[in-house]
Amino acid sequence: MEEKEAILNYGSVSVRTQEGGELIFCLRGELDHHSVREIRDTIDRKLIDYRPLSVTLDLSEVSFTDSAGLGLILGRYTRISGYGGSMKLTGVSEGFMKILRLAGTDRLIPIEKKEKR
Amino acid sequence: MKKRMINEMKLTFASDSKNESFARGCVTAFSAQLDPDMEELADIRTAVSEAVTNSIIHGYRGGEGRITVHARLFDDRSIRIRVIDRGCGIENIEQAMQPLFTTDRSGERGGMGFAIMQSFSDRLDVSSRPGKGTTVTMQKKLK
Repeated sequence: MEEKEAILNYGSVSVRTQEGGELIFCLRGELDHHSVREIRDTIDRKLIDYRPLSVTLDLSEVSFTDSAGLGLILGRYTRISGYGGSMKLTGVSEGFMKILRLAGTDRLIPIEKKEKR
Repeated sequence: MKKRMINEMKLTFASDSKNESFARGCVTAFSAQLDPDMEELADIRTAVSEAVTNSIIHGYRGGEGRITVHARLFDDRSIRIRVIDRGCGIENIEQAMQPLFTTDRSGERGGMGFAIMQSFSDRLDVSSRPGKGTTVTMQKKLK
């Protein structure tokens, strides 16, 4: 699918829109209880504004996560599923995958390999 | 033969979420003396982050307090990390340690903190007294 060049940067997260209304959130840096608040607020504002039916969280630039990152993902999944949308993950590191597997999240949320752009 | 301690560090800091990154960074740098591989280092980093976050969120409930991280390295290539707070303590440790158990109603926390600490270390001990505080002890033997 051809992409519109609409990339907005908000500190630790950038938002890319694709034709068809899909939103791709690229998360950056460390995800812990301190840093996820800003990321969560940014994502949630966009979810309210656009109510996208398809959302991708790109985690390829996340350098660290603990259960706060897991909570961020589960919270967004619940919110997006709640209004009938779908969400998937991409660019998941081995370390992040270890946490997702531990919580069984890898069986709940589709995880795709990141395509090279 | 009894293992021998070869180095130790103690760090005390304010219960402020900004210090989560600082605390896990310090312990990771200290444990690098045992030359862990990348996965072991990541496990230590994550386990410390969970324990410190627990103290901030649950021990002090986001309020003021002091957290102490005490780490020891041993000659059998093991590390012992203690995270100590003087917060509200845990009423029911067994329940708190159940995977997916959470007191959070917002859906933003998955209740996986202790499960991650357990999974990312070889041994996890939690001692707590309501009103007095909590000590989390994690031990990990490196390859």
